[in-house]
Amino acid sequence: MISELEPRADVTVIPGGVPVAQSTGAPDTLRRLLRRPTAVASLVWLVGITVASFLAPLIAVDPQQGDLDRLGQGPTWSHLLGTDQLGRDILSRLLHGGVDAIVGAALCVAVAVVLGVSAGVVAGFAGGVVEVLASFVSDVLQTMPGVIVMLLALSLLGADLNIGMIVLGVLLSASFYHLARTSTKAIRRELFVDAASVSGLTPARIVVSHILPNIRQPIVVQATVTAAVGLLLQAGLSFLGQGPPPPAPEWGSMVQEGAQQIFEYPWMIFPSGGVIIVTALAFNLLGDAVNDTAGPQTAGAGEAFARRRPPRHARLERPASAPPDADAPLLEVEGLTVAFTGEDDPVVVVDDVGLSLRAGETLALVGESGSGKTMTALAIMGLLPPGAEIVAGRVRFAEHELDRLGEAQLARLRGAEIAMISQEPVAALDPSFTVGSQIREPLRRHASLGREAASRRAIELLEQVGIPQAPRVARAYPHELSGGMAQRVAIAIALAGRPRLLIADEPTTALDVTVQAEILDLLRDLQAQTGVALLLVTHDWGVVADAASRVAVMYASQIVEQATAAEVFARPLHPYSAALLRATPSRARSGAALPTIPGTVPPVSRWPRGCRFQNRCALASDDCGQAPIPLLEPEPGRRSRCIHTERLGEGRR
Amino acid sequence: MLRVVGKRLVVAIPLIVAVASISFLFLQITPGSPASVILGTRATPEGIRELDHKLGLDQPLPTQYGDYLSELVHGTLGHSLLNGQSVTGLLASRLQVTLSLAILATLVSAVVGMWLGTFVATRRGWYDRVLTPVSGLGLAMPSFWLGTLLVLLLAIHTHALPATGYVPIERSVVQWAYHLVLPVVALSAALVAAIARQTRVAMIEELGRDYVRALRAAGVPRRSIVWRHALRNASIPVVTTLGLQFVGVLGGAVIIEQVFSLPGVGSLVLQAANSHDVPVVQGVVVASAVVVLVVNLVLDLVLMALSPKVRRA
Repeated sequence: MISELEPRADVTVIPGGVPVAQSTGAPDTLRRLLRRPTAVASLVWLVGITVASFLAPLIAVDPQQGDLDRLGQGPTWSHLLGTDQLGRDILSRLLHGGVDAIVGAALCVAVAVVLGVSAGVVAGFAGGVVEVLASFVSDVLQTMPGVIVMLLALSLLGADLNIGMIVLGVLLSASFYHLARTSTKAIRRELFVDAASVSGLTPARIVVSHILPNIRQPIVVQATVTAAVGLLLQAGLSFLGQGPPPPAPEWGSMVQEGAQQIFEYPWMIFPSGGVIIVTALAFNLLGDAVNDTAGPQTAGAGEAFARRRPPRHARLERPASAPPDADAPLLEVEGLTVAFTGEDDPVVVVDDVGLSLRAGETLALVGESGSGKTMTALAIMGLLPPGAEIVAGRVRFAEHELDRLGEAQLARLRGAEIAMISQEPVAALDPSFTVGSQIREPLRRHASLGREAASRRAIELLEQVGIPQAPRVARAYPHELSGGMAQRVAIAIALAGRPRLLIADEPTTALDVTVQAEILDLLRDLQAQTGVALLLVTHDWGVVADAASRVAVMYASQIVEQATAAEVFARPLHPYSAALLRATPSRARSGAALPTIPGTVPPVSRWPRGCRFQNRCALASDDCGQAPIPLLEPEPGRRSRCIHTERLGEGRR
Repeated sequence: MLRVVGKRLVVAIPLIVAVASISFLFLQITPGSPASVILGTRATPEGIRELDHKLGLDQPLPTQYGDYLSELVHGTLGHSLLNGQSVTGLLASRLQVTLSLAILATLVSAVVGMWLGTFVATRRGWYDRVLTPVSGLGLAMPSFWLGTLLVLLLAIHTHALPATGYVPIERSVVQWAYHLVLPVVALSAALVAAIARQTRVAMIEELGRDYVRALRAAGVPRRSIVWRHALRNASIPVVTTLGLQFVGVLGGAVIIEQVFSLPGVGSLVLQAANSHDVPVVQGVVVASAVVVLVVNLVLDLVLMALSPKVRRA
């Protein structure tokens, strides 16, 4: 029957694969909120002051009743917050005035939320002229100063502060409008809403079930901010004498009275000011707490910039190493172990890695993403992300023990002795500075060049990395460059200090295939010209074949094989290298399906005992799981972390 | 640059007309006769009729609106009901006070707030835990209360700074600044807190970006990375916010002027509101909108100077 094929209104069709941005339910957010002491304290205060204010006629004394024997006293047992210039009890007056303040703030928030959100949702849905008009109105509201417009309203519509607060709510609705409109548009664009409307959901249902849950949290945060602003302006207007005439107790007018009596009774400004501050603070803290429940805090990128002490293990005693002899390698890494040392158990991301690299040589560090190769590179540079640190091992570069140096000493070596280029060349350039100025900055520092000499040298460097029309490119900004150009610029910056070691972290991954080859050629040429040693971090065997003389293969944080590039390509001595090579498109036989490695790299928590590759390995036997496999030397000059190297030939058939 | 100024002006004209129209509407939606509200207890039938005529309320609505707009175009912003002076004339002597206050407060907040936010973002830990509550307090403190407290502490007790009065900038720059210290501090506190918070978040984000790592890898010193590179990028959203906040600062200046007895727009609009001198209040609303738009135009130019992407867009 046809009717069965028609979409049913009560079924929401959500196409597979589209991530549905569902926020957590309201009860859950509330529960998380109540775990925060500041949120609880704020709520207690807000509820308390509201209830006490409304009960003021019952629990407080007459706000107009003055005690002429006690003028302008500080706090006493009979008058907890003291008395004013007429001997009236300040606490009672504050409670009586609380209703106006709280109702005013609530009115302002209610008007702003209802008006702003509904206009925003309508504009977001309708688009076109409606949206243009609504946005124009919101722009207009944002150019009108609240206090002055409130004064205009009060001068015409009567001296009722609540009218002023409603007008303020209209002005402040602009921010809710922007929130609701932006979010509605975003959700509308998402596929699932289109599917939902196809399946017969009314716009009203979409708003209730999809849009409101998504914007609830930012709206609550904005509402708390608005409440605080409303409260402060309500008090501000009553401070200006726009509220009910004296002797009515209003929070703002009580500050005003205190200000007038400031010579005689300075205490008077503190209770009234205090209650306004604490209430506004409670709104703001509540907003902060709601905001924090949104998810993980922006975790500490800035921490990387904290002035760090030398790494923990460097403070331990260790025998001074003999000064490197003349033909020692330029870079020597031994037993390098890097871990994220958080509150929980340390998570090892680089495990006992050893490398060595001579001047003018190219070593490729090969592995899948997550194998620890980038972390190894960053550890050498001393640029590990916050939370990660070297927990064991040593990194020697020329005569420097890099792992023992502090940030300041490392900073002097970076750029001048060791440089790095990274995967995303455009993102690696500061968007606000010209290419030229970004090359000049390290030049002026490392080569101590003056302004003009640095400019000339910058152009030379750009020409050296093969950029045509170098002077023009020097004046360009990063967003005006292609990926290949940006990588050339990054290389020019890296070369500015004439380093002896260049670490290239996936230098071609983000680039077009044709550009990849050009960048590799460039790196090879520059190496020939300058004799720089190259540590090439890559997952691409093609890059290895093009550029590397030696190879270290990493799997699950360990080096599993080390050999010359030619040897690995001819006859890999670890099943992982062999499998990785077979899975390379350029080496696969045409017509046959591309072989893949079964399974995935296990996460740190599920590393098997013994060989970490055993679960994916065709050669695995019981022995593989007995004990950690050391880096063996199955043949002279070859290293492999495998106990079945003699059976590798069989596995290939 | 000229194109941006031109574009902004084209957008500004309908905005001003709209602001003026809303002010005009207030007179129309007043329940009953605006004249009777304005005259209050002094209202007599003849008085109301006379005032209705003065306000043009006896004319048909389109005529009223047309007259109102034509006053606007002629730049008089209407005339006072009390003494017939043009609003522009009334504003002329007072605008400097309010603008000095609002613009200085904005500048001070921008500099101090960005410095504070950057300082905290690059240290984290203890400073970070202190900034949130302290800035929360700054945001919660009513400017007029802080102003009163400053008067108590610094003017009455120590006589360090003047509590009242204004010296025009053309008479003495030093005295001008000296008299504005306390009002500007009182007016800036909340904005400093807001800017510091926003700068902190923006800086933490910038310091996590690839280019920061690349700059470190190139051996660029920390000071330059933080203050020259990251802060410049982080300041782009902050300057945008500053534009949105200025309208609030201008309103706050009206209140602060009363605390420090400054003869600015605040006292004018307050007197006008209290005596129901509606055209003056309307005129001040329109004039403030013009000021807000001009300040936003300047901030747009600042943004263009900061960011090549904004420049090209």
